[in-house]
Amino acid sequence: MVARGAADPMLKPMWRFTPLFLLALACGESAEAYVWDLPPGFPEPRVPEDNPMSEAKVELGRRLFYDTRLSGNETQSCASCHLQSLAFTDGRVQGVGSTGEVHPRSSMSLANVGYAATLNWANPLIRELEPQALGPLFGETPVELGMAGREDELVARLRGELVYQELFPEAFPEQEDPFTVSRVLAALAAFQRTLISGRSPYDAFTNGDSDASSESAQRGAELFFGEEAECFHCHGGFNFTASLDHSGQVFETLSFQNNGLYDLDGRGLYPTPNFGLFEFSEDRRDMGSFKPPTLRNIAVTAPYMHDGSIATLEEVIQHYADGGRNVTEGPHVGDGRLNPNKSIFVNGFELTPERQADLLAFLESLTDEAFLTDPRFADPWVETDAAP
Amino acid sequence: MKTKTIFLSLLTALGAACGDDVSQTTVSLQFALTDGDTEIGCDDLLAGVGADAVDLEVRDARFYVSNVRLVSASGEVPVALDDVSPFQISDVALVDFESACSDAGDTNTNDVVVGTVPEGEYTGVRFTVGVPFELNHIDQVVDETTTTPEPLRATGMWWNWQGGFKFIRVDLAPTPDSTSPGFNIHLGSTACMGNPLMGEDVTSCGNPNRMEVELTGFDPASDTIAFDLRAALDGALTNQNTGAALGCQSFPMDEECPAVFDNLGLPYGGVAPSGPQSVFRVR
Repeated sequence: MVARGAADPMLKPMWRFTPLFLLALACGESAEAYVWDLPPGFPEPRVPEDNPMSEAKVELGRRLFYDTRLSGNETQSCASCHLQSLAFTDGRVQGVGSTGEVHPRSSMSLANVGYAATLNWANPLIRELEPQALGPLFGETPVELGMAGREDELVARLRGELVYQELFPEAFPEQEDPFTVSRVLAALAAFQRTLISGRSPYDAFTNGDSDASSESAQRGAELFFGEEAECFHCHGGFNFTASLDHSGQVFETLSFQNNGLYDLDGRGLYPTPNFGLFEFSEDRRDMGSFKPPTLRNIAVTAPYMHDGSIATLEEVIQHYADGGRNVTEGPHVGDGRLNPNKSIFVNGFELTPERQADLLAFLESLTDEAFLTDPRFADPWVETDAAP
Repeated sequence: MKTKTIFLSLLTALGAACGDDVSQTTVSLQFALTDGDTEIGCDDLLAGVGADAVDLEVRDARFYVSNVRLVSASGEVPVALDDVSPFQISDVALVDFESACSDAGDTNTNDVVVGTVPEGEYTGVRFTVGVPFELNHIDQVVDETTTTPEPLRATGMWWNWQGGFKFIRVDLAPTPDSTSPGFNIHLGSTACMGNPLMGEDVTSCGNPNRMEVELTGFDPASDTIAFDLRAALDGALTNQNTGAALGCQSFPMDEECPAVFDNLGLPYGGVAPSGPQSVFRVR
């Protein structure tokens, strides 16, 4: 049993974090340290001691992220399911791997992934980006990039690339031979930690630009952070999620919540194989519990939920206003509103057309256009090809 | 049972400490992949297997062996595994019948586990199928510069979703005429939790899923240990796939798992096995 709702008491103080974080930023960084480009009020992501940040490593990670040589049949890269323009999601209901296998889950946004306390939709065991990359690279159920058993081939492919012959030694100067799978993981993680999004109109508004947010969006924010809609309990803090970790944080706050999407058997059963945290705890109370994702850029990451089963943001708002989902036809019949594992904060609330519009306006104000178009996060191989 | 084991181990240790005259000998445990009594290999056909009597072809067959012991009239002695690159270290050995018929495999194979025991008259063998807990939850990296033990560097044996290794990997593909979707057996520890709130790694697994094998009437010098795929599939629902995981991949609430786990002598979904494992036997 892990932290079911345990994060909630910590959320309110976390929202008022700024002074503490500024202190952390001011202290203890040497002159040669990697310089983060952080939005106002953002803490530094937590960086593992054995994988310090550097410009070269980030650039190497970006190259690898966009390199189809990381898939068995050389058709897909990380970016195939994580498109910058969609806040590093793929717009599909469920992901599709390099061999055409459909993933049981929907591709997650990588915006602010360096601040996630756990990675993936409901895996309490994967808490750092380095080991997380093993899943898409080498996982077989489902096959994503399809490199299982082909690690030597992967290294050989990378070794043959001129760009890497410069970048790997630059990124890992202490290594006699930097071409290893673990260095690939390290570089991918370093790049992903730079995918920081915090310059939305809503941020501008909270930082003093009163014109940045519409009145409708401001009313939506009040609803969002209020005790009637209760959204903020699971989607609070600077990253709009209760699953948070950063360099200034003493305790990681994990969170896995059930939002009442399904109840196949009246005892909370979710459709196989998406059992959520139950897959790890085998505690029935964890059936259907998933990590609340960040809501930053949520307007561009449709469809929604772990299985992509809600198509639009309007329907998501309706889902929460209804206090869950009653599935009345198809293979997943059952009233998720009555799911015994459902979060106590998914109780439903009165939704008028105006409130619907206000919440939508607020959520849309979390879209960070600069992030979606930042050339530092774009495909570097295109630049190379275009160069004279 | 546990007390007895410890007692015997102590005796053994005592014996080793006092008896300078006890000479050591090398033992080589021979394994074979079989269909019943017939030795098979990569790409070979398994005709009419499982409850649905479907035709399947071998695409992968590998497993980890640890805690190996030989049994004589006076009790059991541990087999000190030799450090033999790349398939075994002192704690664990990889038995590998996969010879590049799997996309996730390679041409390297290994059908022996080699170690040292005191000389004696041995009539039985005991071993665990699985990676010891202390090794099962290490950081998985393929990196010659780290201490990742060689047998654990096979990415085809990684069990990323549970942060450990597959103890057994059997991949069986349908023949062109078969109605079966195929059937995989991926065994590994599940329900693994640490205390992530405190930043701890895995501290325990609800379902360790390490198989205990005990074979009697076994002469290590002349007998072979058969890993019988037909027996592993006995009673299994081989003509369907109800979960996303093809066959039985240790995922909870998978209809294809109960029969397989029973054959492996392991509990599944809170149901105890009907008896000891029936997949490994003396041949």
